[in-house]
This record gives sequence, C-alpha cells and structure tokens, in this order.
Amino acid sequence: MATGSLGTGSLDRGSLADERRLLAALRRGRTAGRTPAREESDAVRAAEALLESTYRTTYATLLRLCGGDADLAADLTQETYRKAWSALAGFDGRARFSTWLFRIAYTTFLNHARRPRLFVPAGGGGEGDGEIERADGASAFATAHESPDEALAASQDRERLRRAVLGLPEDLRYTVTARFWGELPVREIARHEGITGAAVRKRLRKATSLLAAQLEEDLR
Amino acid sequence: MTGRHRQREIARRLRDVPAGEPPAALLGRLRADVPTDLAERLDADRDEPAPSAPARPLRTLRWVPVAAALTMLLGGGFLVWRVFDGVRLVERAAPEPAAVREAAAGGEGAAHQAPVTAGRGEGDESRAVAGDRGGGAADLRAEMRGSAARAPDVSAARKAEEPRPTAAPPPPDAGDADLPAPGAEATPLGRRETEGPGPSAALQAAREAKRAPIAEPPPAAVFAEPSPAPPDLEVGAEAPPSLGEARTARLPAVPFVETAAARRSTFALDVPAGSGAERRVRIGRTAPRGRSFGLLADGGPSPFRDDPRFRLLRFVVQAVGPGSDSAEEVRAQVEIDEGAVVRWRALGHQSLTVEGAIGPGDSVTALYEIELAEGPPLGELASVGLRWRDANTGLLHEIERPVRPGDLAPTWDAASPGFRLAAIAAAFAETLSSPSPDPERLAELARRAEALAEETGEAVALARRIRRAERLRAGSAP
Repeated sequence: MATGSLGTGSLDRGSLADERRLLAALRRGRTAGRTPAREESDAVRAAEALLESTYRTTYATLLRLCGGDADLAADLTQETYRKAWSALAGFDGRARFSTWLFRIAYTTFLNHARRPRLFVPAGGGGEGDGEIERADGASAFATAHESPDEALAASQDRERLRRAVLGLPEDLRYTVTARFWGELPVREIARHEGITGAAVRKRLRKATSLLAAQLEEDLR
Repeated sequence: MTGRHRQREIARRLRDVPAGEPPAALLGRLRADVPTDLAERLDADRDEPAPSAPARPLRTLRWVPVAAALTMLLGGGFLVWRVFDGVRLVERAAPEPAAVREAAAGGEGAAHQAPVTAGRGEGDESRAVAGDRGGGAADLRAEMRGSAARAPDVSAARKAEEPRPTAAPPPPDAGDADLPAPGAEATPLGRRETEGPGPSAALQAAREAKRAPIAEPPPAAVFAEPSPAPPDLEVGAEAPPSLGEARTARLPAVPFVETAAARRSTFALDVPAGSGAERRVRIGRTAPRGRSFGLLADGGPSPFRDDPRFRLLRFVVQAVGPGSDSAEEVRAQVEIDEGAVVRWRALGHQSLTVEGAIGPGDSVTALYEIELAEGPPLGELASVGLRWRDANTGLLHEIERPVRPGDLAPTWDAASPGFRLAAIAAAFAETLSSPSPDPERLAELARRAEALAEETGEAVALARRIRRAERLRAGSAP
C-alpha cells in the first residue's frame, strides 16, 4: 500500500473522504516549492492508492459481466484503468470516482462484446451478439455444491441470468449491472445518470420484471 | 409466485452471482500502467482555456424535446442550401404560362430546365412541365441526369470564373447521389428557355468545398469562428427520408413561439437513434486533449425586420481535434430565458459536415430569432448546451455556453462576418419561401450581401445569387 506524504495508508473500500482526498492530491496543481518530479511522484502515488481501493470491485464487476472468465475480466480491468487515466481530466466530481469508473468498465465490456470475432470457437459461436459462450452453456463460476450436477445446474442458471441481463434495453441493463454487479448505491447511479432516485428504482423494478419473464420463458 | 416476489427473487439471484478474487498478478499489471506523467497531463488540461465561455456544469435540464420546434428545425432548416436553390424558387413563384408551355413543347431540351428540387409539397410547376412525361420528381431528376449527359457542357465556362479550391478532390461520395447532374440546373425565373444550362455556380462550389480535405483544426488554445464556407447540406445515402424530404420541401415562414409556453429547442448533430440510419460522429481527442467540441454563440440585429427589439442569435457547434474516437448521442439544446425574451423562433440549423461523419473542423450552425422583453436586458438571453457520449468510455460529456446581451453586436456592421453571412442566407431563404418574394426585400439583402462580399470571399456567391434573384423578380413583377 502506497504511503508517504499523501498519508494514504490503508483505505476503507468505498471511503468517500479518502477518495476525495486522493483525487484532490492527484489533481493538485504545481505549487511553490515543489519540483515537477515531486509532483509526479505524489500524483502517481495518489493514482496507485485510488487503484488499490477500486480494482477489486472493478474486477468483480467485469468478472460477472464476462460470465466468470477470469482472464478476460483481468484484461478488461486493465483496459478500463488505461482509459480512466486518459480520461481523468474529464472527471468533474459530480459522482463518485467509483461510479465514474464503473461506467468506463461497463462500456469497455460492451465494446469488447461487440467486437467482430475473427474466430468462432467450435461448439457455439456467440457471433451474433458478441456474447461469450461456453461449449456447455454454463458459466465459468466454480462454486461449492453438493454434487457436480447441482454445480452445473447452478452455473447454467447464472449464465441464463447473465444473458438475460445483457439482453435488456440499454438503460435498464446499465442500471441493473450498476446496482447489482457494480454495487453502486441508487443515489450514485441517479447522480451519474442525471435522473432521480425514483427513476432508478423504477428502472430496477422494470428490469427485474422483464428478467423474471424472460427466465420463465427460457425454462419452458 | 407474485410479481413482487419474482422481482425479489431475481434481485437475490443477481446479487448472488459470485464476485471472485482478482488474480495475484493483476495489481502489479495495473500499477505498471499508471502514467508517470499524470500530473503533467492533468496540468496541461487544466491550463487549456475553454473553447468558448468558461465551462460550467450543465444545469440539470430536462432534455425534453420540443417536438414542434424540432419539426420546424428540420422542415425549415438547411437555409443556406435554399440560398443556392433560390433562383429556382423565384422562378416557380411567378411562372409565365407561355414559357411553361414553350418549355413543355421543347421536349428533351427543356427537360433539364425544370427545377430539380421538386420534393414534397412543392414543384407543382415542375410536375406540370413533366406531366407530359408522366413523371414525378424522381423521374424528373432521372430525366435531367440523362439530359445533362447529352447537353452541351457550358459549366466549364462558369467554373473558370469561380475560384477553385487548391486541394485535389477526393472520390465522389454517396452524398452526391441526390445532387442534380451538372447541366441540369433550372432556368431563370419564369422562362423555360434554353439559354444554356449549367450547374449552379454556388452549388458547384459547394460540391467542391465538400470534397476538399478537412482543414487542420485550430490551435488548442483558440477556438476560431468556423469558416463560413459554402454550405453543403447534402445528407448521405444513409440519411433518413425525413431529412431528405426536408431538404427539398418548400420552407414555410417559421412562426414565433412564446417563451412562456416553450423555451427549449433541441437539435441533433447526428441522425436520431432508432431511425434506421444512425451515423457515428467521429471526433478527435488528441489535440486539444479532452476538447472534442467547441461552442460559439453570438448575435446581432435581425435582418428580418427593422425593429431593435428583434435580434438574431447564432450558435455554432464545432468539432475540434483529429483522431478516430467516436462520439455518440450528440445533442444540442438551446434554452431561451423567459425573463429576457418574449418570444422566439428557431430558423433552422445547417451542417457543414463530410459525408457520414462530423470530423475536425466541421460545424453545425443554428439560428434563432428572438424578441427582447421591454427594458434593458439583464443576465443571460439564452444558453446552448451540448451533450455527447464518448463511445470508448461510455462517459457523458457536457458543455454549455451562455449568451449575454454583451455578446450581441450593437449594429449590423459590427457583427462578425460569419454571423452576417448566416443571417443574410436565412433571410434570403425565408424571403424566397414566400409565394411572391418582395423585390425590395431582395434588393436590401443583395445590398447587404455585396457589402459583406467586400470583406469575405465566402459572401461573393451569395451576393451574386441574391442580386440575380432580385433582378429576375423585378423583371417578372407585374
């Protein structure tokens, strides 16, 4: 964990005060008596501290979106942060950094899913909608279950749920993934989207209703 | 299972999707990616002046599209294209039956004399001319293309008179598909004579300008007023039919809207989503960093009426910066201040874009006429906001530019050349939209355009057009 003049120490995950302090340190302009090298050093340490406080959540979000593909989730996490550093100047602080970061991660995943595939794996393509499809139709999540059959059934259920989520209209899909997989509070989603909290809850209700209907239809 | 129960069950299943721990090596990889010049990058962005007024967070606006205003914008837009089509409109305004019959009897030679823009709601005369051939607007255009191929090429002589762009023209694009072929221009007002067809010089210039390479964007620290190049309102083959129809329809005079009733007007820089003809707006991100769009707002006396209470506002959205990044959902919204403006009307908006994309240097200009409230104006008159989404990050960007009384030029001559050019073009288009354009009005506009042409070469073609229309109208007036 980065330490030093910034006093980053250890961060509580999601600590708003720490996040603001780090962002302020990151964006502090040149001050008298500080060399450019010192400025850069502080900025890098602040960035690393922000990174450490957010990367687990970002990775978890992408892992869920990717259906448990750990390698892909790691690659997309790396891509997300690269974009975040490039776009950091545009972060206006209206919403939390983690909320802003979630949007980048979410879009990174969608862009990846939409990329044309040069190679269609045997046993199912996922070519039509760019979805990641496994040969057995199950997700990659490994959970502890009493029997392999139950584990397979559970993972297939999760994969169906994931596909149903990704098939939602964009506004509902974003809201559902932000709330349940990005673990963002309703007010943060509302603030970032420029809508009210009531509108967010309405979207969530509508989305879960659609998902329920879709999953029932899939089982028929 | 009730609906609410099912929803709760779904929510529980969503939460139960496992998170998983990241690989041990991931943090190291991420740390290695942290830029070592992060502070310098942030400083550079901080030091760059805003392209227009100081950026401020967009107020929480409800981007409620004003359907009526948007319809007026689309129907009454593309003003400057109408300028270069103005002569044909003036002709149709006062057709001479004898000339029409002569043209109809002229057969093939008269085919390419007929107006080419017979679109929805107009072109009755052209249909009368083409009626013998049993064709509508599409048939007329097709016929003229064929005739143009056989017509003598007099366009070369006219082209020699016009300043030619220095850049080599790129291959023709789909946007020219609907343009009339060279040589298929309508004849002067009321006379279907074979005086020698040729392309509208301005239309040709517009085509050439469109094909010219995009100029380098202005320096990062300066947001320059966009060059008022000959406008090109051609919409690509992917454009929705409504835009194409609006391009060719006769323009009615745009009515005023009471500010108390409606004070927001929205126009899009790309094709609306769901229209089946979506078009990505490509903007750059490299220089200036983070500055993808710029907003310009100015105004001055309205050329539509001699009343100091009326002003014309001009908003320009310009794409800056090269690159291949994309912007989506680009929307501009104008909000009129209810306390400062009694009523307003959106005259339309005109794009200077390359087919299929808005690239660096491209711009969209929107014009609004306002009637000021009594008393000295305080605060802002209006504001224009721009919102777009970065396709790479999914992040929304917003910028806003207010218009204050000090932004308006006190006199016509004090206004910028770009403003005056856009204003004259808009007034010309609206004048021509009348069934009987006022000759005195045309003369006044011609005088203004000629005075402007002494300052900027971009007004030369416009001035020539207006003067020609004025002469034709005066000659055909009873």
